[in-house]
Formats: sequence, structure tokens, C-alpha cells
Amino acid sequence: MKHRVHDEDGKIISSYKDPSGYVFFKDGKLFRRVNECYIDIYRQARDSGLFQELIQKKLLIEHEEIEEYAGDDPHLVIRPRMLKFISYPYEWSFSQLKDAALVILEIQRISISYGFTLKDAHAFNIQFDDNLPVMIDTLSFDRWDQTPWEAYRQFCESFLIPLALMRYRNLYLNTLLKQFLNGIPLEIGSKLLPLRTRLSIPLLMHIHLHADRVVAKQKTGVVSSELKPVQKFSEQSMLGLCMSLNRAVRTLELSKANSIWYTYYHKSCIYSPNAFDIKKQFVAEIIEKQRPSVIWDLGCNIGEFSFLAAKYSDLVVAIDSDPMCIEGLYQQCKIKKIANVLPLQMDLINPSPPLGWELQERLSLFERGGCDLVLALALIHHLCISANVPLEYVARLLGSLSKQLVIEFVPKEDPQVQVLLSSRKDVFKNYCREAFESAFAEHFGIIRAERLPESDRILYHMVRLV
Amino acid sequence: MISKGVQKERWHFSVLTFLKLWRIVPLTDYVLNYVVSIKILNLNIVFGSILGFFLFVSPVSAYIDPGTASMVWQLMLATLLGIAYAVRLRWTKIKDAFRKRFNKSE
Repeated sequence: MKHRVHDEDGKIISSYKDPSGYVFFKDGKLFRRVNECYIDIYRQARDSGLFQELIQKKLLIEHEEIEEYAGDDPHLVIRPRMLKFISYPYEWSFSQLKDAALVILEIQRISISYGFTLKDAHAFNIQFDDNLPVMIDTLSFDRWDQTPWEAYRQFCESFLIPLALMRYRNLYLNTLLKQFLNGIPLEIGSKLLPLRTRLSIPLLMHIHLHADRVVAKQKTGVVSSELKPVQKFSEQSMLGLCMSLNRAVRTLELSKANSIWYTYYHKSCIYSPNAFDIKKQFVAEIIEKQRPSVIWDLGCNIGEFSFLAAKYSDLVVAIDSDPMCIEGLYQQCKIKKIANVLPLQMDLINPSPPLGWELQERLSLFERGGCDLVLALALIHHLCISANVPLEYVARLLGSLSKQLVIEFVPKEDPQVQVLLSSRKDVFKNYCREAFESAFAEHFGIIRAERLPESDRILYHMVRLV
Repeated sequence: MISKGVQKERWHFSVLTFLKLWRIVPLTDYVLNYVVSIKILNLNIVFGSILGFFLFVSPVSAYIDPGTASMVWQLMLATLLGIAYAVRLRWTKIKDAFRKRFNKSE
């Protein structure tokens, strides 16, 4: 089956769920159609000043109105600002998910004051724009008629449970969102969390007792039509709910767990200060000269080189498999106010796959727009030695990603490789400089190579052949 | 007759429903049904226990929209959340007032 992200008429497959409208591509530009059934609500939200306030506060993506069609099929077309890169919640670090959750709650709080409510609150509606979480679905609002929050359960399942699991169990558990695209179900989340989370009132209320209610209702099997709430849900209760959820999210904080990667540069002195400076200079010279728009820093670690690359490019997508590194990097970006580095947690051995309906709802990493330069520094030995990937495969993948490549070859004699080899049999007879160069020569031409002083590592600048 | 009984025994209901919701006492379903049988329907202990047991073991399984239970749960929390919000608001105002005064005196 040929892979496509949109229908023949340009409609993006991931927007099939919402009857209010859909996103489509036309002439390489992104548009959002507002269907007839939603036009009134859209106009009310716009005229009330809700959109304006949310856009002003950088909570909602800007858009411009393009056309209004009357006649048989009345609809509106708006054009949202296009983002540089789309990322998904299962690639975000703890704090990224937390910030996204707080943005959803803030949007709900503001919407209520305008008489509107968010009708869905799944994490895919949030994207990172200049490292700030922003809502991308302009059609997620509905008039609020004093009913409970429709998206409450979705919020708990998409944000609160993953965050609590990451906090109380393991940071890698955000990857459960790959399996549960609509959020980790309450009953599963409640069972996976340790007993002590029942001592936290917000978690007890919004996860455990909530899950118990849902399970109890499923068992007693009361038909939904019988349960139409007749009682009004006051504004004060709704604001109380937002406040309580906000508190639940805010009180989740990471313990100071140490990651081996996070302290990599600080503890293990693999580079002499001189060698590290030369490495930095090598990378800076190339990026400054090439001025690539989008850079992917694969195996970014704590982002030392991502920050360097960010000075000369529009966007650096910094990818690493260690969630603590990505967490630290995101925190650093916030502190240093660096907007054009997007940290994402992903293992290159098993990058984000296409997911959802027809495998076209969520895109794989490689389908989300290419890049102009790939940084692969001190990465090759992890792919080839730790994960047994042949050098030819690495060359093929990097060749498919970008035209320019800055790569560091770490030979077998390197102490770090020796550490990797210390607990296993050395079956990597072909892992040497010559084999590396010949594998990459199939896809790239070597422009420049430089050996780092007091080390056996070699830096390469390569350009793709075709 | 039943409505009178319900009014009389309302406190039983409130306490037991609370216990049931918060899962504090196991088998509260049974106790609840037992109370219904004996106190309200005025049955004797033996009949009450039998009826209570049958009421307890007959859950009907049918389709339920998963969102509905969450909506009902929010309605149950509504008062609590409202009060919490009001208290928080007042508290913030009091704190602000103190802070202003403190800053002025400084």
C-alpha cells in the first residue's frame, strides 16, 4: 500500500474524527475547512474575543480567514500558520508533557470565561512552537451550557496518567502513548500506579476514584441515555475542576534521578579540553558556512552541539534515547530562552513509527519533513557496536535523511568503545576506519576529515552524492 | 408507604452510598440492599437477607458510553470543587491584602 498522509482531495487523514471541519493541503499550503455545522460556533468564538485573547497569550496558533463559501455547501476556509516540525506526545519529555497539560487547562479556564469549553483535550492538539506548547486545533471549542467538562476523562488519560506514571514509575512510560493514542485508559493507569499515589488527593480524585467510577458504571451497565446529567455544573465548579487538575499536574515533579548520559560530559572525561574545543570549532565552521535551515542532531546528549548549531539555523531537532537528557535539554532551553531547539526523546534503533488509522494518522519520524544537515556526533559506535547495525545501513539511513552530514567516527581503540565491548564478544571485525569510509562513500563524498588531538576519533563533513 | 420509609431512612442511604462510592467498606452493595429490604420494605431479617443477596448479584451488562461515567463523577465532585475554588479565591485575596499592607508599611 502506498503511503500517503492525505486523501486525493488533500484532506489530511488524521483529521477524520472531527465533524466540525478538517485540515487539507493545497498547492503545498495548509488550510483548515470549517464545516457548515460549526460556522456559527466559530463566528461566536471569534467575535467574542476568545480567539484573540488565546492567540495574544500564545496559547492558540494564529490563523487568517481565507474564504467564505455560500451556496449548496456553505463552509469557511481558514489558514493556520504552518509549524516547522510536528512532534508527538510519546516523544516529549516529562516537562514538555507537563507544560502542554498546563496550556490545555489554561485554555479551558479562559474559554469558560467567554462561555466556551474545550470539547477535546488530547495531547496531539498541542504542538511545540518556538519551544512553547500551543494549541493547533482552532475548532476544538464548543459553547458551554453549564455541563461537566466533556474532555475531562480525555485530559486525565492523555496527560495526568502519563505524567503520574513517568513520575512514580519510569520516565520511559510516556511511550505507552504510542499504544494508547487516545490516552492511557483510566483503569490501566490506576492499576499501574503505585499504592502511595492514593495518598495524593488530586491523584486519588482524578485517577483512582475516577477509574473506580468508570469501571463500576461499566459493570452495572447503565445505558448512557439514562444518565443524562440534569444537574447544572456551575462556573465555580468548572473553575474548581481546572484548578484541581492544575494542582494535580503541578505537584508532579521529577525526583533528582541521575542519568548516565546527563552527566556524560561532566564526569567521564572522554575529550581533553583541547579536543573538545576543536570538535566544537569544526562543527561551528561547517554550520556557519552552510547555514542549513533545519538540523537534526541525532544522539544529542545534553545538547551541547544542538545549542551551537541553533546559532546558525532556524530549527534544531535534538533527538536522544535518554529521557533524562531530553528533560535536561528542555529545561536548559527554557532557562537560556533558546526557542529553536526542539528536544525529542526517541531511540534511533526504533524510531517513531506511523500509527493510527491505516497507519496514516500519526507520521513516522522520517515522514515529517526532511532536514538540511544531520549531526551524528559520537553516535556510530552505539548503533554499530551496541545495536549491531551494519555500517552500510547507517550510511543508507543518513543518506536518505539529508544532503549534508557531520559525523564522528569512534574507532575500536577508543576507551568508550572498549567499555561497550568489555561485556560481549567482539564480532565486529569490519568496524574500522576503512570500512566506515567505504560504506559511506556509496552515499556521500567526503569534503573534510579531521582527527581529534589526544584521541582516535575522526570528524567528517560529508555531502550526499546525488 | 415506601416513600415515607425512604424519607425516614435517608441517612442510611447517604452514609452507605458514600461508603460505596469511596469503596471504604467491602460488600457495601450487599449492606445497602439489605437495609433497603429490611428497613424500607419492612421485611423480616431472613427474607431481607435473601432479597438483599439477589439484588446484590444481578449486575446488568449493557453498553455504556465511557464518557458518561466521567460526567457523572464530575457532578459528584461539583460541590467539593466549587467550595475548593471559593476558598482558594478568598485565601488569595486575604494573602494579597496582607502583602499589600506589609509592603506599604515597609
